[in-house]
Amino acid sequence: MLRYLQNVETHISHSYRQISTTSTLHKNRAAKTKSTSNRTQLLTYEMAQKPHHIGVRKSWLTWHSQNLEEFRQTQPLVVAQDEVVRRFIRGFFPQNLVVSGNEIVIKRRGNVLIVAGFLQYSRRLDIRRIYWMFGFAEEFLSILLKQPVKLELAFVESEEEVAYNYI
Amino acid sequence: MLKLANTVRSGLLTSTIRNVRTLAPTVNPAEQQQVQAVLPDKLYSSIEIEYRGHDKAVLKSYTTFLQQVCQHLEIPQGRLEVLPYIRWVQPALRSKFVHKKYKLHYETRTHISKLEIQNVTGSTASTFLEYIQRNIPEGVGMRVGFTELQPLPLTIQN
Amino acid sequence: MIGRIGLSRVLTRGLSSGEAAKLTIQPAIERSPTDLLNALSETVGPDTTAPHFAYIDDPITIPSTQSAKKTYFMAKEFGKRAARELATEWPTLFAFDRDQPRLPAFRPQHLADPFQVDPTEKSLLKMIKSREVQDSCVLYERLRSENVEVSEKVQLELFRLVAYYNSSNIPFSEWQEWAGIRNFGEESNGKWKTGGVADLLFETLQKTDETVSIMIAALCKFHDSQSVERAKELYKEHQTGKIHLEAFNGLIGASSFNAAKKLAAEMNSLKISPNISTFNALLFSAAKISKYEEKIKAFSEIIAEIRELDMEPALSCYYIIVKNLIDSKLLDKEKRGENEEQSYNKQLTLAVSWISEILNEIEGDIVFFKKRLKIRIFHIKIDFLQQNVISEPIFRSKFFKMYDFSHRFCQNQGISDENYKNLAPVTSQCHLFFVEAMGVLYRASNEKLAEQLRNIYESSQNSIKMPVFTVESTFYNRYLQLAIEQTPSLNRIQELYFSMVPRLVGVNNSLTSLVFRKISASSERNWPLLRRAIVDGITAGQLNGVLGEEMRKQLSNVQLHTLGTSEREQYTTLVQKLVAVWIEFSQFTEERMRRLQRKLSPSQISECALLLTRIGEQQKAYELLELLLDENASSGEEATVYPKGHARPWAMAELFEDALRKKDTYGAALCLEILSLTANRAKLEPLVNRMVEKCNVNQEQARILQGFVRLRPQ
Repeated sequence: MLRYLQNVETHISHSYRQISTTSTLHKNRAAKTKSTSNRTQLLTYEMAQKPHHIGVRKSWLTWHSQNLEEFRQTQPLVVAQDEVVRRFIRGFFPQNLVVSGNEIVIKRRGNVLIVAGFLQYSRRLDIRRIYWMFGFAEEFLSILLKQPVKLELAFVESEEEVAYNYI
Repeated sequence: MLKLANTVRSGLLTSTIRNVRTLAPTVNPAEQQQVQAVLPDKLYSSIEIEYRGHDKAVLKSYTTFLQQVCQHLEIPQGRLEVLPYIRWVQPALRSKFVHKKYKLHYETRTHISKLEIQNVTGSTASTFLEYIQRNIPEGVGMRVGFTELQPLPLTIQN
Repeated sequence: MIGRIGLSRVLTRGLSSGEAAKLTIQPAIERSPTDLLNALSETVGPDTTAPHFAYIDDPITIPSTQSAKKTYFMAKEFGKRAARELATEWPTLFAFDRDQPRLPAFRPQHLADPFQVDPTEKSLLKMIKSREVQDSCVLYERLRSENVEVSEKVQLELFRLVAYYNSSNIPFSEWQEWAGIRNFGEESNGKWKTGGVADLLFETLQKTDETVSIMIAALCKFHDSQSVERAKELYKEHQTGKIHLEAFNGLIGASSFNAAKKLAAEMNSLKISPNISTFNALLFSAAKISKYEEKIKAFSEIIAEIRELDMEPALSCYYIIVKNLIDSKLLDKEKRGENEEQSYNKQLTLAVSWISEILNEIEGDIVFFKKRLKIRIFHIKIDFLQQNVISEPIFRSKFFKMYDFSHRFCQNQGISDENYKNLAPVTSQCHLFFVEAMGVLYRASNEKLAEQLRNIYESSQNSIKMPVFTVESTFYNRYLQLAIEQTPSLNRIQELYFSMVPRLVGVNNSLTSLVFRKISASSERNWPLLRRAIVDGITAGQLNGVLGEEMRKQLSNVQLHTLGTSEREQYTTLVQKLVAVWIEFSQFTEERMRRLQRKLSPSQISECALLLTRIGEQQKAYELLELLLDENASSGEEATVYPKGHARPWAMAELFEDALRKKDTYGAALCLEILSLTANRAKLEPLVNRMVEKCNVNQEQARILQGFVRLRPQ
């Protein structure tokens, strides 16, 4: 499935014209992370697989039926909703994100949207604050999208616990 | 009384976003009392459930679920078909300008499975389908086709 | 369109048309949209070992104490309310409209502002219907000031509403939308608001039976001495008409027992038949009698009256009785004197016998008791066979025969489900019976009746349920403590504890101390139970008090060689964790953390050091012990050690022995030095001699040691 637009980088620069004729400069860089010299780049299992493993070793981060043949009634709507949810989560839990909020799984069952993923608590965890934020986020997203939204985010002590390897 | 199999193919697209339309006949509740005693149950000689998804493993697990449900609820199960996937391909040009030979290949695969249920009544069918649809995994879409048994029209009977 | 299939069917049918019977098709079964969900929910019950679904499903966010449960639930709810406020304030930002059918649940709206809305009767009626009491009062005032005509009917509606709610907004327990504040919000009933809208309306409306009854009932519901007086006056004035039942109930509840009896007689003469609320009110007034024997007599009289009228006493009647069966003065243990103790015991026995009667009554209604008893007998036999002889083929056939027999037996008895009656709530206080009864049974230490009460509560026939987070947990807490107290077997305690804590019962100090007591008193060894009690104690914040000491003591009593490998690992990690936590607590020396700081006491240090040596961390143990000798550690700003108190002698002795065994001179010397802080020379000399013997002490060191001891006071 198309990992829609999130990871595809565009090379259009607007300040001056450029003509580049080598085909190597135009490789597709989506979902391929560059290795670092001292192995500090953290990779989760999902990130570690190359995009040609999609469907084999790699699975999708959103699950909905709008990309199936003959089921495409609300395809663009779902894409937009996904993006809204991801940006909201990324912005609302700024200290708690794991891997800059990329690894949020969104599932749709019937009318219900379920957001699953990991959040980290690096400093002392204030559970009351977390509960307040969960209640707020669920209610806010539900009213925004007019669909029940459930958060199923689990907590992890630090980012290292979701690491698969470092490159 | 002679009955002729009247193949009624009513497609019911069930995606996992929209409200699910079940089979129960939409009777006006005000008339329900009078109509209830009169309206007999529908009979289906076969119900074909076709479900599609992007992940073959998910469909396989859903198939085992369906088969188990049929077994436990003692609903006669027909054949199970796993159809080849439908591929939707859209390439994008790799380079900004020229170089038509080099493209990026993007495709979508929709895997399809079909399961058939035989000889059920309308009430059974609606309950069964409701249960199935409440438990459908995310990312799987279902379409149901009914083959109803109806008595011959009076013009032919007489 | 007909196809090959149809044709073949036609042919086959044609062949057999001779015997084709007339087909009757059953009518379609109509099902409501939620029927399937109801059926599915009936197949599952609550899992008491799993956390409640209201909480985030992560081990660190699951609450274990009652206060934590309340806090987390309310926090989540406040978050939701905040989001909803935002959405009501700025509806244009939430105008995404693709939902079909339109869902008003996701489009919250502000309540109608009484100052802005149209000043008509219709808007007033709408407000009354949605029970916005204060808003409707304001609107009514506004209508009056603008001289808008308000009809009698609407005024009567408003009067009803305002009298019922005492001119203030609906209480928390009636909020429909927010479950947290409905369960956890605490409100007192309040006193009657004189001079409010209710009084105003009462004056303006005609004094009919209905309005006077409403006023009397309201004055008695929100009672203080003045309002009750006024109610009685109103009653006396309105002797010509017929006061309604609710007013009588109110008056009865607010007056003394004799006056109540007179009122009941008058009610009888007016031919008004009493209902359960009347009897509740009678019981309530009877409960105010100070003399014990008279009170009991009054209770029995009232129950007999209920039976006379062929009514079933509701659980709320039993609640009022049970609550008042023991004098409240006698409840506190410390304040009881000698002769008071006797009367307390007498009252307690009477209370227990009452409760046993009541429980048998309730069970007699439910009629499941007999079946359970019979099946229990057979199941005991079957279990016995199953345990002992299931492998033998001869016995196995016998086993099956017994099983068949029991099954057929029950069928032959005609015990079926249709005979059972449901226990349904009659008033809003029925559920409190369970809690009160369990409280009395706890005081009386009667486990059998407590078991019976719990079975009644949990049976499928019972639909009276207590609110989960508040009242039910008290009920189960009392039951659990009673059950733990009465059983000697640690396995049973483990079973009970694991199934009920923390879902049904929150972790609390009395429970944990009870469990520790039982563990010490028992000769069995149960490591999972001890570990669970300690872990629960950590999450409940019990580390820093008396229970912390208790934990250390229990851990030092554990014999490591009796534990298995995985258990030993658990022990090690637990000890490490505990010691790390205590040390961390003692190191909160910064300004802002000062109030959290718990300095290490010497006994604490010695015990922790002992535990550390037990798990093999000698180095850390000696580091800890050095803190005892370090002057800087116990004084000044950065103090982490409590200056008063001394190390536990048995701990130090064991550490000393351990050091000797390992021939660790330095360690032994350390222990000796600590011991010398409290012991005198006589005790220290033999220790020094042993040290000199066992460890390879050279001349120099031996001389230092002996000199050290000689300097000690006698």
